[in-house]
Amino acid sequence: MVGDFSVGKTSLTQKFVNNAFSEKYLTTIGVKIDTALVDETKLIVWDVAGRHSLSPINASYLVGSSGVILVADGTRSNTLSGVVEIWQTVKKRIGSVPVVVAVNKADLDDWQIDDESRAFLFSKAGITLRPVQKTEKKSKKRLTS
Amino acid sequence: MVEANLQQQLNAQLFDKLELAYIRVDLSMSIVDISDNLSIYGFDNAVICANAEDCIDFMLGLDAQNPLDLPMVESPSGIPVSVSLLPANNSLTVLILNASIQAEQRQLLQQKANENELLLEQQDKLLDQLEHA
Repeated sequence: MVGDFSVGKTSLTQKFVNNAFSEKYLTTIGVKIDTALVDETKLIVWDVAGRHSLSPINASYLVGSSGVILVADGTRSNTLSGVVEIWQTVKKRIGSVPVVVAVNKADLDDWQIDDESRAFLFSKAGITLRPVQKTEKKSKKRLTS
Repeated sequence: MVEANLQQQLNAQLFDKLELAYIRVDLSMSIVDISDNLSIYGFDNAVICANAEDCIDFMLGLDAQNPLDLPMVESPSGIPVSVSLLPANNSLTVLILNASIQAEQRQLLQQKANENELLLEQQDKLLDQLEHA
């Protein structure tokens, strides 16, 4: 799980692993490692500290990854550019591993993802955004990939 | 005699005060040696002959022949640790060092920095909205 700071990487991880959600924002330092069993496969999730202008992603955390989830905040358009830049860092360190982009916070009013952002992501990183069916009526999160 | 004393001092400093722990694995990732204080960090399943990839989550997928530094990894006991992987003589030594103090200081600083930047982003957004109103 990589992305800019405060996009909700830890929230997504906790929702996925422990089905828990907290409104409180507490920045992650370093990396938190969680495990989840998915169809008899042990999935180890590295929730990496968010990228900030003062602290770039530590590429050592990416070593050995089988895939990457790039997380952006749909209410902060600059975090989509962050996704593009972080994807370049990932490819440089570990090559083109399978990738999913999760655009978070779709439940908030100032959601800014439009056709322009989709075109931007596709042209800059070759990643297509498509809506994922919500499983709950009032889902707190929506993933797009 | 002096050497024994020195060794004792070093051990006290490294293993007791700094809480340095270690795991040594062979090239097949089988654990061949561990320090007595490993349980501080909650790596309770890490025992000699076990496969390190099965019992230590951060070891999965790592290469036993390449050095690597993983700063501030949250250990199973919740203590942030700095991990160094040092390959030598057909084995890999994993050094684990308590990084609580650095993590705590970093947390305070980073939290403030992130919150400030979020406020600035919000301010820019509002000014932009005002301009277009």
